[in-house]
Amino acid sequence: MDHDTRTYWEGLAERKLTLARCGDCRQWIHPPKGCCPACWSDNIGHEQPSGEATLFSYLVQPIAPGGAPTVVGWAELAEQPRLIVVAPILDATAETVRIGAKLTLEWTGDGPYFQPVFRQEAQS
Amino acid sequence: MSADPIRDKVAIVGIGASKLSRDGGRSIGALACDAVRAAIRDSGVPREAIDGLSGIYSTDQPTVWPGYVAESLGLSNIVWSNCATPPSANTVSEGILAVAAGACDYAVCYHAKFRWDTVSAAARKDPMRRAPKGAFDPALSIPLVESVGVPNGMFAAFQRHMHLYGTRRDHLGRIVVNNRNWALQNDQAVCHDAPLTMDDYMAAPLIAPPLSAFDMDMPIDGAMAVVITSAERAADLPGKRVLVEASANAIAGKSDFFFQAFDTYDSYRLLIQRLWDKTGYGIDDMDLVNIYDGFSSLALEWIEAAFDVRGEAGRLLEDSWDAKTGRLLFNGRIPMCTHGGNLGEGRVQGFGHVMEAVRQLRGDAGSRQVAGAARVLVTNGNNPVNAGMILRAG
Repeated sequence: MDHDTRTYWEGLAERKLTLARCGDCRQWIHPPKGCCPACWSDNIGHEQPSGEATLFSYLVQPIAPGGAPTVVGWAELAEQPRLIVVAPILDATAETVRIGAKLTLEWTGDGPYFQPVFRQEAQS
Repeated sequence: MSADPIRDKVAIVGIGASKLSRDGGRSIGALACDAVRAAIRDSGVPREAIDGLSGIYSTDQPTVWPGYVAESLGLSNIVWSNCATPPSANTVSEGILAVAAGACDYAVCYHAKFRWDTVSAAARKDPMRRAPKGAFDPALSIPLVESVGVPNGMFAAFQRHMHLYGTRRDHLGRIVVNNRNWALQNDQAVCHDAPLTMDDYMAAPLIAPPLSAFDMDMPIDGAMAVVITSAERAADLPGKRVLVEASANAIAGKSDFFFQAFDTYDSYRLLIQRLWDKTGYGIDDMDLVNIYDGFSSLALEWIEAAFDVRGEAGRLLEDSWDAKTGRLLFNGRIPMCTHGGNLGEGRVQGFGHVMEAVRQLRGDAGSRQVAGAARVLVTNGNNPVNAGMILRAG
């Protein structure tokens, strides 16, 4: 945690995904930065995205050494191209995970910081 | 257009390496000094004349500072020094610039790698391998708000490449097997005695699917160094000189390495285009391409940029593959990484790619010699931070 990431972590404690966003040009900025990469403004605020996302890419890997393989997803949020959050994809396996799948945001963990996770919407 | 202050004005006049091994029984400081001494001896430049010294940060390891090397080797006339960011070709490009600018006359540029306890479970058991605390690269403090491991963004970028373009694991296998086969002809390579067939590669367990251990560079104890001076002074030295045509470092776009999988390739394109713009050359003017292979998937991305085949690297690798020799020959003529690359020779983070270019252009590559090698493309690093150069026989 540092001056740029503190608000993100405080959001996790309340089960809220809280991302940096430029108050001037409205660009979302993640990972958070101290100034806006697009317009150089110092007016960095924080907002909550909708939680709607699309699976951009993934890996199937144990998160803990020796643990069971987990699908770790690169979730591209609906708000902006290449606005990506990395998080586990619940209930997905190497066989069922699909790049391009619609994702919805959920929460797991026991706190104090809860973990954002995503779930693939059923294929229609 | 004003004259280029680098092109044909700067020469590499000496190369040297320590032993490259999984456990050399020597400290990282001693390894750096092994390489620097060997390079200075190879150049024929007297120790007293060495007045520039350039080392490099490493992304995951403590650094051997120029001050340590100067003290350890009694270099007492250093008037220019530097410790650049990775990749390791950056230390060479810094030396090129320093000589071109007249900041020093004879620069030694080195890099040393070591199997610290942070590298593997085996290294953690060795009390000689405890990395000093606080010595890790301060320049790359990216806030990892989502704690995926360091290279996973690169792997996910390749996963997306497979999805978008139909790229397959056997395409990476052609890169790995090419480099491992060349390593069999390189006495100093850590994989010199370890043949790897395509069948072996395809049967390997996947550590981070779709990548296996063979797709990751070989952690070693080892160091390499070069001596750089002006082309004019080089003419008075005993050895064959190798001239710098162009040298560049690119940064562009967002990081695939540390965090995400942006899949942009911006910095690869920027670097390659800069080298072509500075020289007027294209890929067909090269006789050898020493493509960076810290991971095989990075080599695939570099091949796309160097050969201008975005999304079609798989097809190019198929067309360039000679199954009989287990090697790549691009455009029917251009081999890749004749020393074995990081994947076969060992991981000095791309420095070996520069060393092999010099050997080939001097005609000193033994059984690996590319007939008539006149120009070599070297690439280093990844997206977003990288380096590259074009060297030619002097």
